[in-house]
Amino acid sequence: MKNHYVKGTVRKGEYYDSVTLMRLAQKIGEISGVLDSAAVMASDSNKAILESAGMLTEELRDSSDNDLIIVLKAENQASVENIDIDKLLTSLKSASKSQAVRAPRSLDGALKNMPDANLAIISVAGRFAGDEARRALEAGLHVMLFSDNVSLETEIELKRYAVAKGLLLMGPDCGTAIINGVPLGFANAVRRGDIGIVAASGTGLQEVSCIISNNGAGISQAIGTGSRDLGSEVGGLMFIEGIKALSDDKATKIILLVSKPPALETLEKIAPILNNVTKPIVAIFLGAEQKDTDRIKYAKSLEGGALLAVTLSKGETDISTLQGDSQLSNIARAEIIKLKLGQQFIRGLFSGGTFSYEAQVLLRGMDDIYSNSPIKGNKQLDYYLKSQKHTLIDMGADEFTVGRLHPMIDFSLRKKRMIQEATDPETAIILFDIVLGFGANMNPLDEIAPAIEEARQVAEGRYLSFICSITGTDNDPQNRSTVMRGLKELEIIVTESNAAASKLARMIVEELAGRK
Amino acid sequence: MIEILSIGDKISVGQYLAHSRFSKAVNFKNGEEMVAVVNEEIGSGPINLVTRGVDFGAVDSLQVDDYRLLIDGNEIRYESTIRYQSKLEFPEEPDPNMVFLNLQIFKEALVKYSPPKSLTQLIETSPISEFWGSFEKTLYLRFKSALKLMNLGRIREGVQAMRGLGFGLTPGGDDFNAGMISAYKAAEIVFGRDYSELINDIYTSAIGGNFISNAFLRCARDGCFTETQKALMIALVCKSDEEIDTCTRALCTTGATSGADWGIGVFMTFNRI
Repeated sequence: MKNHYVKGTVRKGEYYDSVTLMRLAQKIGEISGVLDSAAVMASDSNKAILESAGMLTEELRDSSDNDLIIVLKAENQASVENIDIDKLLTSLKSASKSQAVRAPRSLDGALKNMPDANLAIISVAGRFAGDEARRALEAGLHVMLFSDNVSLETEIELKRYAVAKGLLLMGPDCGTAIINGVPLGFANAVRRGDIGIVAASGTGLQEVSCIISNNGAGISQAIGTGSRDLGSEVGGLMFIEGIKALSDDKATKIILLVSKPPALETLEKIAPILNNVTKPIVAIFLGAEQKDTDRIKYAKSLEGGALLAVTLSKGETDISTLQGDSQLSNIARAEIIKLKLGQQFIRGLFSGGTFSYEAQVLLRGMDDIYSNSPIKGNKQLDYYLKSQKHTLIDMGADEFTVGRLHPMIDFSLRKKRMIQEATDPETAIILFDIVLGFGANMNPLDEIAPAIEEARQVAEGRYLSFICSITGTDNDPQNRSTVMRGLKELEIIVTESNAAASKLARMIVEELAGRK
Repeated sequence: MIEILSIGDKISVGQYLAHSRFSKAVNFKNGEEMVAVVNEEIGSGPINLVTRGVDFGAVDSLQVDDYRLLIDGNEIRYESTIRYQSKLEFPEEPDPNMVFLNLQIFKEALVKYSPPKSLTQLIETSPISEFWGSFEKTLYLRFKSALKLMNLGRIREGVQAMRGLGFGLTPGGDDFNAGMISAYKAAEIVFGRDYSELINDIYTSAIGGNFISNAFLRCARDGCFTETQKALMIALVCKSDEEIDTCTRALCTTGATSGADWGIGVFMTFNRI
């Protein structure tokens, strides 16, 4: 019988799950020249099997139950000399995170793989998205339409069809949702609970769900509708369906609505639906002035609405803020001492349109606020790449994202803009957000730290007040506490919400104005 | 900020050091004692410390005192109310017949939700060609013969043959043995019989040199269940088909194949009683 070469290694203190080890063995076995392989814990039973296969080397004989053993049998030594086990393990670990059983290439293929599915997520180029969504609705599936660039006419047609079939069509441009505890798209690992959300704003939904989770309550369902839903043309078709679904959902005790102000005629359509709901409702229609009723409470900020919902969920009466005015005021006073005369403007670089919108609402009443998407009373930037006085930019807007990934993933333009703002001697505050969660940038600290350092260098001795809000939870893959700690080590002021960051920025510039 | 959501009732006071690290859990060791610091997704268990805010990639030390924990030197006080009670209690009088009626549903759910190459292969015949390499093929045959010994009533020999058999941090054979013990513990309550001698026999035959397997076997012997295991047992005895399906699905997401392997041990045991 031909003598084969057998090579075994013992690895102490290394632990992997069974699937990883099976795949490692298979991967080694696929290498040319390898005849057989195994990667297992060194129990006596496993060693007995290896012995029967002629694969138990002397070195492996002495291993104990808590050791990992990796062994291969090859035609000869030369053919396997260069096998790098560590590299194989690393590739397996990263592959296991994204491995799919078998990626279907069509909706029909997906339905064959999973005939019980009742929801389709559609993320294809906008021009094809309408047809795919229609197909999914025809197949009786709820749809989360992640794609953007779907025409308004198509959106209306699809939503009318969905309503007629008793289905949800979330989107288009629906970036996030949480259905029965499963986060979809850009969502966060939040607690489950009794607060149901309907939102026409992706980042708004993420912000409120994280604040709720971080404050001890949880989410039953979170339904995204796409930002155009509450406009006069679509007429809130899915917002209304979302409210009805949550009203019927046994797990939902409180309904939280998140949106920019709806069109007046849409609000008139929603009002009777809300009146029929028996559950308490908290509504955040950013920038709108509404009067509370017995069952419907209106909040002025995402933080305010989320905390109000938490209070109702816990059956408490006292509504708190995450960072009170006195705490923010103390930070503001400490900051203005460091700023030089002439530094007076806020430069807000937001990854979500809703954050830019909310900041503008909370800075309302201040003069000279510019934006690439200004709210009523603020001014349109002359050129979106050049700031003017107080500038609050939605970096998720089309002009920044054509041919690029969303700024929650790709920080490159924000980093450049940070450095650009730092060269302006009138810049006092660089206000920004970091959104964590599934789909978002996995290493925000590593991305942002060099840009902060460079911004400080180009500021030539001027102090810059960096204020950052984090949207995320400790269960997100990036871990909110770790990111927060890292940002603080970079001497960045980290606030608990976008609203708190905006309020703090306002306090600082108002103090600065008073100093002149 | 680190938050403690639940602390298992089998966790002993003492100083622990990190033993093995995964994305959602870090196992800590103090002699033979183990504590698994886990996130909410993993959930409560007799030796689980369910936390929020722990950086699983970095945490190294754990000290457990009464009403106080030190995680990497950070002190966290906890209330006794968050102590997880791991003993199995049924919400209503268990109906022994129900278990047998539900076994088929449980089996179907195990086949449906078990990950590939778990011990489901023991209840769903797999062609030998599906296994890769001589180790996997021989392993499958060894599992089969261990099970055969048990079915012949040679329980102790079967358990010994299962011990340490399989891949991974806790070999499938060890998880199977723990499932067997847990099933007998549940059967004591459901059928009102005394299996203590048999349980002790299985336990002493199953215990080996794997620190983590041993910790799980001890929990099983002492009648301690994780919340996922408990929910399944309750579903098997007094809940609907849908509940069994849901609980089995949850069980099969525990570890890579551990949950499914434990489930097969439970199924085989009830099937034999």
